[in-house]
Amino acid sequence: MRPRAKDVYGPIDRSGRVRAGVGRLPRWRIAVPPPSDTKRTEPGASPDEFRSLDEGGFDRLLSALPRERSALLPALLLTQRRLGTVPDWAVERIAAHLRLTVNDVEGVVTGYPDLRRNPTGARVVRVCTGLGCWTAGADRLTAALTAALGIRLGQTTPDGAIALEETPCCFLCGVAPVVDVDGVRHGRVNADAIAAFVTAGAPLSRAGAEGCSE
Amino acid sequence: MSATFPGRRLRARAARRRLAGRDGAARLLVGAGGCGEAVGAAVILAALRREVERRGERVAVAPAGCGGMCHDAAQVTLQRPGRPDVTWGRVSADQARTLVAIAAGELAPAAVPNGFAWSAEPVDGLDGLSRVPFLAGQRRLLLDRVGRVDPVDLDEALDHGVYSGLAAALARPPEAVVEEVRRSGLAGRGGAYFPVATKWEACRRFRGPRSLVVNAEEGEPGVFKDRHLLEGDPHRVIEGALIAAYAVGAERIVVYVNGQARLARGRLEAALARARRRGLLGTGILGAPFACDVEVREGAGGYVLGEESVILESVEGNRPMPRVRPPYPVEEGLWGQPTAINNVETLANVPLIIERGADWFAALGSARFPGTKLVCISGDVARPGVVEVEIGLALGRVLDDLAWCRPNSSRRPLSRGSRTCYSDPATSLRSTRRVRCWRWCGG
Repeated sequence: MRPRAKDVYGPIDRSGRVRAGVGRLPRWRIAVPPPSDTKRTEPGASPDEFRSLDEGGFDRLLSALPRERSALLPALLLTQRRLGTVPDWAVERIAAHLRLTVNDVEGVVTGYPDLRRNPTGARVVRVCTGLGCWTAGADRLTAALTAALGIRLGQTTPDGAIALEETPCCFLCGVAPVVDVDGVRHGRVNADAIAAFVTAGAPLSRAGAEGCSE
Repeated sequence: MSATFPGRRLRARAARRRLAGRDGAARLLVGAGGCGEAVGAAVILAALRREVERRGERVAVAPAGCGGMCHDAAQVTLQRPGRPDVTWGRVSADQARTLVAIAAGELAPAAVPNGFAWSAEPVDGLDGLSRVPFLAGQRRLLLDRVGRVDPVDLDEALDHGVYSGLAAALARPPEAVVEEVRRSGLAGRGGAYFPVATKWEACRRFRGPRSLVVNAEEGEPGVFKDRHLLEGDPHRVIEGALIAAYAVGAERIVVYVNGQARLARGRLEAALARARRRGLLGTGILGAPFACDVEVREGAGGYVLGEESVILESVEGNRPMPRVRPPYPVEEGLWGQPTAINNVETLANVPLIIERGADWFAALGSARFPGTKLVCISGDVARPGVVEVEIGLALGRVLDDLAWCRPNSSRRPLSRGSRTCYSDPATSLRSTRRVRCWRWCGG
């Protein structure tokens, strides 16, 4: 059977012209594995085990991404998800894989506030100090957390266990105030409960949702 | 080619599948948007599933988006065939047993407090919508499905008529689609209120290949409407993006999602995978000579990322810095190709316009800016959340009737940036054309 024009050129519109964007599917979709942050919060999974990805394993991870500049931010996000930070050696590996200079990669890493260049605590507690949370008492949360952990905002406990940070708006203003613990958001938290939750893992009962604990 | 035949066939198949799958069983939907998750929606969902399994009950349990009532999170909605939906607010995991008993028909819905029915009249001892001012004052078109469906379920979406707008659009030439949107007067909901059809037409003037970028990087503090749409009804957004891509002749769509909005991204990707499997993405979509696919990209923080040319730089792998214009993105955008950039909410409006007609849309809202607007309310109000109202409604009504500012609040605006400019509560949505969100706080 003679192949129809449709099969050769892809679908054709009624006028017989191949319409722009028709018949060719660009092979540019970059498949990045979904966020695996949940692993960090699983009880029993030690952060060290999680972060012990060696350079060989890292290269295998990168090889899923196309070797083009467009894959730079996906590569950096992937790195941060797996390692918790973007270390120097990862910057070099990414630059080599994407055929960029280390400076190119460095420039992009420093352009995004969410990407970290330096190691941080094993657990990261971030208090939202956006306006919605601020009016709902974010300052009381930071006061309680700094008192309970003995560190100031932006510091890590001496044993490296917990880092305390503030974060701009988490976009959960409807359930303010919000605290982000290792990527998991907790809304409508009260100061004493969040301090006990962070330091001792006490169940987090929420204002307005009494009895709802985790 | 009949106007909607591929869509109709898909829809009929979807209805058959749904009937076979659920067969009149009740369903419990947990309002698991970003806000619901933060107050334990996942725990409630797990508790409900455990309870249904323990009892061996034929009750479906699924996560849904947040319908906008963030103040009432976490919500659980019960859907029974032939009965109005019932929603309870501020539910806790302890109430799972009672909720499943209600779904099984053993207890009356009033057994759990804080409930209301989605009907005009009171039902089963529960208030009707007229007693829920937060919902009664709204005109919910974009939010119609949000919170009351399983967001990623394609069968359910097809059953509700999602993607029939796409089928209708594909039956016409792209120019006619642009013309329809022009007649509707749809303006960009990202903040600038630029006429959508003008942007599309400008993009069409330049030689392809072209791209469409969906701006879901809402980085303005206090704005969370786009993620509510993506979390609650991603199929509607995908449909809108596909119609837009057809209208501008784009072969690729890049959806740029805020890095913080992980749930929105996950739901969008799940919905895309289902749509792709059913042939709604790829080549020859719905049997029409149209090929398009969607890539999801993610940001990594920074307010400036929401600016359209910064998104282009970011996708290309450069430092997130705005570009100098001209040339505008419609001429030289992503990788130098003509690129149309639209906001999520803007695109969610497009299927409604194609399906119900430009005249219907133009009659909504104000004469200058037709349609509805999603408004995010937070701060010192009793009922924070996302509401959808017709443009032109007095801001004071949104705050008094819907959000219910606390009586002793002096209602001084706390946050007024370049895009949130308004003067006093009597200001109407019409005159605040740059407004994307209001945050209203007592002083």
